[in-house]
Amino acid sequence: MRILLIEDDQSVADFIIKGLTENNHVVDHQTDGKDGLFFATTESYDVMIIDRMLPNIEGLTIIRTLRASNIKTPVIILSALADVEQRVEGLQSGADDYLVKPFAFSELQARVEILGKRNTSSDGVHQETQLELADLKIDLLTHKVTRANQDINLLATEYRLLEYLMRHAGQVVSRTMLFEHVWDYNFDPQTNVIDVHMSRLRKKIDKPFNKPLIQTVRGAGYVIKT
Amino acid sequence: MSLKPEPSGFNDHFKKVIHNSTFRMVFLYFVLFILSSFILLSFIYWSTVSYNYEQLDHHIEYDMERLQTIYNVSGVEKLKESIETSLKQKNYDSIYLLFNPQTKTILAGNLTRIPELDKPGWHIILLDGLTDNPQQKTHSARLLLMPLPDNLMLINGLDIESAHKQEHMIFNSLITGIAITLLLGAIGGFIISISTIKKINLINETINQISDGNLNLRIHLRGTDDDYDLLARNINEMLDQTHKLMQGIQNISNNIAHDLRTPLTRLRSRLEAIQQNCSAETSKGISQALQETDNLLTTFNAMLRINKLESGAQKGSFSQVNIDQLLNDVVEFYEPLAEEKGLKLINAGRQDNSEHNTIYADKGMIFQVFTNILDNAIKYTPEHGKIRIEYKYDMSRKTPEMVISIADTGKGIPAAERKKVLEPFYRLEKHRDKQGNGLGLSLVAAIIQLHKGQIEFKDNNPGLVVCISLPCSC
Repeated sequence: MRILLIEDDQSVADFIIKGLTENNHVVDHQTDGKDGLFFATTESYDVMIIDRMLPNIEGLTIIRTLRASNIKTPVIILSALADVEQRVEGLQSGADDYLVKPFAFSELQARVEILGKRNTSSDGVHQETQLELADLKIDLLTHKVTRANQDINLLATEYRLLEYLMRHAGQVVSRTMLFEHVWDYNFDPQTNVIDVHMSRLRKKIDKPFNKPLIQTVRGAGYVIKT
Repeated sequence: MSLKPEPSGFNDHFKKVIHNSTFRMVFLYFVLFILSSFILLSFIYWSTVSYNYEQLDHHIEYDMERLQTIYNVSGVEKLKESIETSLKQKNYDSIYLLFNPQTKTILAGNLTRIPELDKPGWHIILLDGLTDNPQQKTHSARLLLMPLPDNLMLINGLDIESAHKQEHMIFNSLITGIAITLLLGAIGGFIISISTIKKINLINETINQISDGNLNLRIHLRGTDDDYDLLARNINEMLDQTHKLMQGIQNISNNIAHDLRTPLTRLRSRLEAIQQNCSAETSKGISQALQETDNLLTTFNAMLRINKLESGAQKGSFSQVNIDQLLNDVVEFYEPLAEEKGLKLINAGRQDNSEHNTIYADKGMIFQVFTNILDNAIKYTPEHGKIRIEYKYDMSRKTPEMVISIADTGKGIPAAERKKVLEPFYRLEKHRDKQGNGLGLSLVAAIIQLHKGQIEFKDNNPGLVVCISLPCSC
């Protein structure tokens, strides 16, 4: 993917560029808001990572300008401003995701991959009613889950967890992302409760079968893949 | 955590007026005013009336002296003559009687009978049966009885009916005077207290709105330059100052956020970079270092959050929240963790028959309150223990409240330490070894305070009951 990074802190930027390049992405880096906006409007990118506090033009202003000129490239805000209000403000400006500093690189990577995928797949507008991975099937309408043609009974929370994982099959999702999307609350829960929920889900999905599908990615989160 | 009294109905309104200091002051002033005018008018009444009677006495004494002189110089016949002349000359107000007390014979005068007076000197008698004049029958008279030589007695006096009438007139006009002052005083006092109460109420209302989070509001100046305007101006200046300070807190926390998070991000990224190409043993150490960085950040975030909540600057997004659903979410979220620790987490739900199940709150914040409390409950309750959550609607307060209690069977908190656990960084001595930053309950307290609710710790014998009351409306 081609990624635009607008970040004024050189050390943080170097770290991000190194990590993304290692994962086969191409990164354009700008340290100044004005230059960043110029690149964002003139070049084509798959994902943009934009810091909030930038020299000359503020991050949110860049995003608003982009959205006003109908550029719909997914944007992740990277910011030290961490309050719920500030996150809401960020998302309202037109950003697609908000990551608070300091962050684990794996968290950023997971979010970048998911946004990039969303951007490319949104071209084909067909509504899926079923998700499949190997012999695991979930029906999005009836919430019926089967593996190897065997019915699996899931609690509501477990189903939501599985659906989120399946929608991003092959991509790493972090615990924070799960809490945000499955429970719909906007704060860092600071507990290992999510791990416990995951282990319950795995007991039902993976344990009775030969090949485990859900895997823990150390220091990052979870991924469901074949 | 205080509740504003809301006036409802006449009774409450009346109580409010009574408790108003202006009303009290005006009332006191009014009482003093009445008392002083009453004393003043009584004095005027008393001195006028007594002067009047003194004049009468002087007149009688003077006339008596004249008659005595006539008797002493010219004898009894001359005196009789003089009395007759006086009676002819003067109107019937004057009373004379010359008589012999032993033979009870009247020698001269205008009384028909000798009044029964025991000794010489001043007397007041009713003229009934003593006079021929029918008009005088109901009148009183002031008399001076004097013995004359040769066993004679002389009465000299005046009908005091007109003096009585005058006295009545003065009394009536003074009563009217008092009534008028009373009325004017009451009207004046009412106007003063109403206008003062209005001015003070205006200031109070504005301050209430400001303390409810409307920080840009200022008290309206009426432009009269009086002491109320001065008070309003001073309060406004103070509010400007407070507002600046609060913006200062906001700026500082933003600056700290930036200046601390960016270096932490660098630190974290360096550690992560090192971790990628190093031995397994070093990697383990680095993982721990990363964990410490995250803990540091968590502590710091919690502190900033508490500060902001306590300053009231962060109002959150309040809406009607269904407490039943929220508690279900919380229990569903924590149930697996409790089960893993061998604990029973029971959602007992509603404990009364009321229909109310909404509170006015920020959903996310209240969820956080319960995660913090349940985290603690699960952490400190031994295996096979029980944690029970229930709620009920309480109408006994002025603002109806939802009371949610979380009871565990752990070791509880000693009564003496129950207040302290809400303070930042306070941890029970025996728990210092366990993980945590000692900010969880402070955050809980700050959120509850923002919601104008209350938190209370009780004994579960054994264990702890955390009671949280949250108002059902704003």
